[in-house]
Amino acid sequence: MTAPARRSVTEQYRDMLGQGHAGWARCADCGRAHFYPRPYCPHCLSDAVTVEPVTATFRVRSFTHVYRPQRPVDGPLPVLIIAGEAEGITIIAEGSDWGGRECRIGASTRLAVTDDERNVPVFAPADEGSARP
Amino acid sequence: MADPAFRDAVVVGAFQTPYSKHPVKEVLDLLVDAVVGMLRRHEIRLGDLDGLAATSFQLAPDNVVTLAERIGASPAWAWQGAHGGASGVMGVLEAARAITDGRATVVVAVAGDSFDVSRHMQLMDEFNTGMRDYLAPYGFGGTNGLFALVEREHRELYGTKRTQLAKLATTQRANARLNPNALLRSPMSEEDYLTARLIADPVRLYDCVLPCTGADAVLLMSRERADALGLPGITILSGRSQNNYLPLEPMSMRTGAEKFAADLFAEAQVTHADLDFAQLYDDYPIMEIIQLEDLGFAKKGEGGAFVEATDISRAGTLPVNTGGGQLSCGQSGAGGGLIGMGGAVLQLLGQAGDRQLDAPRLGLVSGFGMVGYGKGLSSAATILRRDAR
Repeated sequence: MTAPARRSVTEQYRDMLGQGHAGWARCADCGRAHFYPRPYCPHCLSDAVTVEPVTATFRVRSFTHVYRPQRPVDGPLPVLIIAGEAEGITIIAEGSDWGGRECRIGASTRLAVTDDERNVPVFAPADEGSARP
Repeated sequence: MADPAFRDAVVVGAFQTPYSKHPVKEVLDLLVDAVVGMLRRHEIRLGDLDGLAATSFQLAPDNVVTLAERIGASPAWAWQGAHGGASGVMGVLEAARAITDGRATVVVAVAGDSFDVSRHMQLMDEFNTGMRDYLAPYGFGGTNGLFALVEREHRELYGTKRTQLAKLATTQRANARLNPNALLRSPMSEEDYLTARLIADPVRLYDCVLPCTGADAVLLMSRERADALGLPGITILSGRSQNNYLPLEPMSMRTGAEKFAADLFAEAQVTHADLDFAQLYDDYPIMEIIQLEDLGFAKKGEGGAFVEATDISRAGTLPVNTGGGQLSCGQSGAGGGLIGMGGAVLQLLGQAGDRQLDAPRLGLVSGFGMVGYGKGLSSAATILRRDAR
């Protein structure tokens, strides 16, 4: 008799997005996070990796407004792309809901999930105050 | 003493197909043109070709072995690169190792693609699983968006100026004006560069290479064979590569060159000041600056100031990308990883035409590429020396 196969980290990641949560991977053995999720912990090679919802507040490391996307996009141009860092892990994702607020290096941001069919993580301002210039 | 891994091999020639803005033929046939063109230039018989190194993003379902079939060649040794813009340099290094190991005597290293802008953007959308699954769903703009993130952070951390990037772009354009195979040869001023249309801020149009169609080839052979044919050669003093440096970092702020630069120069027994030119991988000017830092020409963060303070023109102390580089010639996909090597070979052999430097003896070539989840994963570099004649 075989045990039911555990969902792969990629499947866990997609499941979590489907539930409205952005995920990253964490190793139960060394405790460290990584992104994108890998089957073995890239810090210690343990297979005790699971995907957990990201609750960390990220710091905007860098950002760009893309005027020439590599594929057609539904929303208006330019597309805001942000590199955000938390716990030493940098994630690159679209910026969402920045409205009139200026995205700047050092701003606080958190991961949310789009409610469109793409179902992808996006960086939203962490709070009103932190994203102001 | 130079790295013994390359001891018995010499580089004896370089060849380029005509570059064009739009695909003119299937990529396999484009690579065939480059290999056959290289052999014909030096009157090498097909039966003498016993090694082949090839890199092309579009080659599937073909590969280096079916390339040999298409040519009608029968190589004992065949190598295919998977390292994007680092593959050109790596392929030449691998070929030199194979020759030194006695596995081949005459090798052509080739790289190229049948690209234009839309084919390049399509490639970026499905380049590898990391990029496809975690970046492509955004309109991240392919490498333009990713290197815009790098340029902004470099400017923020180190004060790197757009005028410093402009110096690279405009100097290379001046070089390209002497290169009949460069696709972008109209004059470009600093003002033109600084005010070009935004692609992904702060990256503007002339920060971006023009994806194009073309292929580059380099010919290597054993020192013994080159001597027998009376061909002047170039010795590979040292060569290094690194893949996925800083494994979880998704931004190309530091490349693998940072890890191997000291060994690269120590093995070649040359200093930076000894070099007569550098052919840097130039997918974006900011990456030239970062490579200058990582290769040890400047400390981290001081690459922009180094460019500002150095005469990088063909008449200068460190001529950079003497044929115009990818920024002005166009980026023929994987061929962009070999264009610098080809330019170095022509310079060291005295075959660079109107853009020939005054008897250069030592040159550096770097490669960089295979962007995965965010950063360029592969780096390679080599130091070359013209043999005494």
